[in-house]
Amino acid sequence: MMVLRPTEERGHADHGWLNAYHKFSFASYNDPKHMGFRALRVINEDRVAPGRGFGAHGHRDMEIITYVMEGKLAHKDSTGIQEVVEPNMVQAMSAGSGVIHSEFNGSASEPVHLLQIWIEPAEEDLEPAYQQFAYDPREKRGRLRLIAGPDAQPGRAAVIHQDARVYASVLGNGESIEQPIAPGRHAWVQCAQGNIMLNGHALKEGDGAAISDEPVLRITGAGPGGSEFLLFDLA
Amino acid sequence: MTPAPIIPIKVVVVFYSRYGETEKAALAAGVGAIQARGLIRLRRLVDLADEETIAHDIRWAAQRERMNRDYVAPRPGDAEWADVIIVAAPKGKPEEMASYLAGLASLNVKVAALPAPDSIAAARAFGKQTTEAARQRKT
Repeated sequence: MMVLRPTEERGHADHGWLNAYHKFSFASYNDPKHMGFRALRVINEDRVAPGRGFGAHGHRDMEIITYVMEGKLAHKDSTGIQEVVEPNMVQAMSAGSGVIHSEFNGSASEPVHLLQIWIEPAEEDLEPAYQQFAYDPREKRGRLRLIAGPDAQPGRAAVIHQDARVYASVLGNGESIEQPIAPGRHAWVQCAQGNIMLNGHALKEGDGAAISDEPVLRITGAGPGGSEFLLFDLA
Repeated sequence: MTPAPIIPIKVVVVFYSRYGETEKAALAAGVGAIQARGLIRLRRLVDLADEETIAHDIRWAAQRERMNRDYVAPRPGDAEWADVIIVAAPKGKPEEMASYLAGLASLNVKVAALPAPDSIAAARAFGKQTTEAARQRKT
């Protein structure tokens, strides 16, 4: 079974400095029918103007993964971490028992375009933790590149406290991959850039799909400019 | 019997900092409030010194630029939103904080003062204790 969630059905907030699309209920966008899927709670697509960002704010009990597609995102938090995240890097923060952080466009001239993902942890009150790693973009070209999971190798992917695995992939036009989904598990596919075909369904940029009871996913790049997507394998 | 849902305590942490030291204490109090499952807003008071004075102090000017980006000043709705306001300022009660507290005097709000803590752990514990105390008053 597959339920499509087209981009035009997403929540949208344009604050001038921030142009945000919410796949699930978030901030002023509240739709009880779209509160998340399994442990996946948030997929926000944000475009932040140069030099602008989110001032200090708090999080608790959430695995927060940031996937930058263009530009630079500067992060600072109450544990003393200060880092900049760019494309082909992934940042993951386990908010655990509580953390305060700020996030800003790290460029004074270029916008930053990113996906921010929140996954509910399996346990509460964990020690707050920060992870960041870079990878070779060829590792996601034509295949699935694990970026987060509970049994990930530190430094190669983010370790998250939930039975969920997040993969990134870039496909050329007509290029396909297949991924089995174990019985009883679920998946979410988020088309980040370009167009894809997912088990015969067309997804355009910003579209998502919730998948249950499908033994295998066949994903094909469908556009001259290629496509980029995230796949979530969820309990 | 279904337990009553927990209503998070709303905490505004208002601080005045020139060089970032009191900011650390305010952050710690904010984290303590989050650990106590509170909702927080962090606010930095705007400097009242003239631009020339600040510009002559390079550390102050640099930290002010950063903190003005990281925090907004208290907003009119904050006091109404908050169950408790935690304030933090350097020793000597700077004019910025005195002015803010004078403005609060007419409102019926609970203010908890963070006494220029030297210890981040103490500030964090203070934030946690304050929110828990506010929760107990609520229930």
